[in-house]
Amino acid sequence: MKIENQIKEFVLKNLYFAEDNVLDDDASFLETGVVDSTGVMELVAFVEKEFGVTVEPQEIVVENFDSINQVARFVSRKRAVHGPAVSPVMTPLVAAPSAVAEH
Amino acid sequence: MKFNKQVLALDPAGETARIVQSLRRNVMNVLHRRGAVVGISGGVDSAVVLALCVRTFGPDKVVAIMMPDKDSDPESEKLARQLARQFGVEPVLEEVTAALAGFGCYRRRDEAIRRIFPEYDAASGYKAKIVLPQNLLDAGGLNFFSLTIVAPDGEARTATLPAKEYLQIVAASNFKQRTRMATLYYHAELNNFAVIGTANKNEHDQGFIVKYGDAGVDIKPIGHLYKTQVYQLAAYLKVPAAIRQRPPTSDTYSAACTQEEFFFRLPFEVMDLLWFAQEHEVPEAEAARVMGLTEAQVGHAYQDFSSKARTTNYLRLPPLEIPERPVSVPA
Repeated sequence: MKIENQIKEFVLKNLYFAEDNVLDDDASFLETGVVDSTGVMELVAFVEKEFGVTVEPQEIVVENFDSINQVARFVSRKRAVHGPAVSPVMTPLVAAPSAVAEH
Repeated sequence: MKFNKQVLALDPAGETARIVQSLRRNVMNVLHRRGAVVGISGGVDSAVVLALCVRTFGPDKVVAIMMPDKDSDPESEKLARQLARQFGVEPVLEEVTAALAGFGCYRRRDEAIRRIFPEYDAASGYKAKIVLPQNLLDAGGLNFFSLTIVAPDGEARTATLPAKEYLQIVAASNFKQRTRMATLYYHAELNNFAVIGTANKNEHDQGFIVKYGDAGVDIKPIGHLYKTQVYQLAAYLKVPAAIRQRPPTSDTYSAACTQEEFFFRLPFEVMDLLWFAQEHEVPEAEAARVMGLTEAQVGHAYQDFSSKARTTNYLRLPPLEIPERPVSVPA
């Protein structure tokens, strides 16, 4: 199945609730409400698991995750550079050497 | 009205008089209650609400409740007591740790945290908080939480929070606001008083609020005020400087966490003006010029305001109803 179709299937099944169940491949996830706070994280988890890529926190941006086509292009770029990888869904970031500042 | 940086300036005396009049009318004539119950946290919002209530009803018709739990900053209670003393109200202390433990608040929350960081152990001094990315103006709109734990030696570790763990941490933590709501209503019903909300417009309309938690109140006297306007009233009402100068905190998680880190992603002085601009359909170019930002930065902020309002709309809805089936009465 094409990457776009896999993503669309996941989004329509899990994240997008509209009566017509139709979502254009370029429709903004932000504007259609697909990516509320858990929507982003669910989409990231799906991408990592389904396509075997690791999504870094700094890659969770509108340019990569705001439409079916954008996600598909992001996945294709990651695979082209890194290839599919076996990696955990969660990746702890670098530990800070000093305490978090008190407010 | 042309958009400018003074658009949020209040006439504090006039606004205070307006709120006081509305509080009196609504609590006494509409709700038929005889006074006010206010949860005071040591923060500026509840401080302003307490001051307004004392003006409206007099100190003997106001009950001020402090509701710390084991994660609360001890400074919060100290400031709340100072506030109550200043306004002539004897505060009531209701420690809610036992109630929260009974609900499994800490157990459920820590279970989710340990799925990310197995070494996390609150009993041995670990602290935790969840935060959003802080680069809203430059990177824009996707809101996803990270979990930060702080070890007893001060070392901090952060990881992106998966959906399941995020939901469990928030659901468990929301016991705090709902427990406080129940406590406030106990005192309200005990005294035949009304529960006075302390959420401001930012919290209420952007969704930094818990349904039937801190949103479960009888009246919202500052629910129409931007945060920066709350500060204006705080200065006018002579709220203690220590409270006015303290950075707004979520005071929900054990690790220190500002409201900006946890939810709003912008300093209030910037957020409030940009949000006012968006609500009044100020073009991005004009808002950018006034604020000294780029159009792209303003666009990111506008997008975030819309997204948060839409995502959290369900928090502000009353119970939905199924329409009655029409009944035809035979002639």
